[in-house]
Amino acid sequence: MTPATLVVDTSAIMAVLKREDRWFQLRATILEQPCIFPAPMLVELWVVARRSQLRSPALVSSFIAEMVDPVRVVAFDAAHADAAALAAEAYGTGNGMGGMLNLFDLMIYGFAKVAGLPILCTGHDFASTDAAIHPASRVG
Amino acid sequence: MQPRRAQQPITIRSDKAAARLAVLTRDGRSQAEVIEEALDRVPDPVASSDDLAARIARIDAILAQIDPSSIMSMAEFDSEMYDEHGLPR
Repeated sequence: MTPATLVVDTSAIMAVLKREDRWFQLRATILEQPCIFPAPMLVELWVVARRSQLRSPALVSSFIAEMVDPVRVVAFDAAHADAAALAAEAYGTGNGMGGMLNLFDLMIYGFAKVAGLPILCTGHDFASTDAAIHPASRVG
Repeated sequence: MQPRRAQQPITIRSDKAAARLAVLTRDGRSQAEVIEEALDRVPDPVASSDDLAARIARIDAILAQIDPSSIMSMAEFDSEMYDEHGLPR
């Protein structure tokens, strides 16, 4: 299998679903690059979708099936947990030092650190850490 | 991908391939290790531009049926789901 070049965060896929700024670029990156889709990301994706006011939740199921390559879904393991736990002190929300990563973000950070890959995301949270940010991300 | 316990075992039908596998496992590697290593060396099938275009068309068709304003933003989701310590509420 072609080695992955980036880790996808929920925010990138949600930006496509909501057609936020630069969603074309995010979609092209997700479809054309070999990605890591962290398994916990799928959970968050589903929860966001279900808490939204959708007329047809089944559409989200179809959307996820098109966007996410199941072969590239990666399970959260002990190495990811170690990296996430280490990051909690430096970057976790509520650490008293302005950390911005919530529990889920820490898990994504763990995937990126273990794989040594940039994160495709939107927003400032990961950009406030030492994680590499994929250039197609929309930071801000 | 299926969980490992749900995967079907494979059968090597070719005598030549079976013999080759026997040779390659003489160094102590398992058959599965040899096969996985061989698979790693095979390039992924390259998706044709037609495949990609069809996938994009399907995504566009799905998106056309979804009102973007009906989807909560990640900022809304985060503030609803996580407390001031970044833990689920």
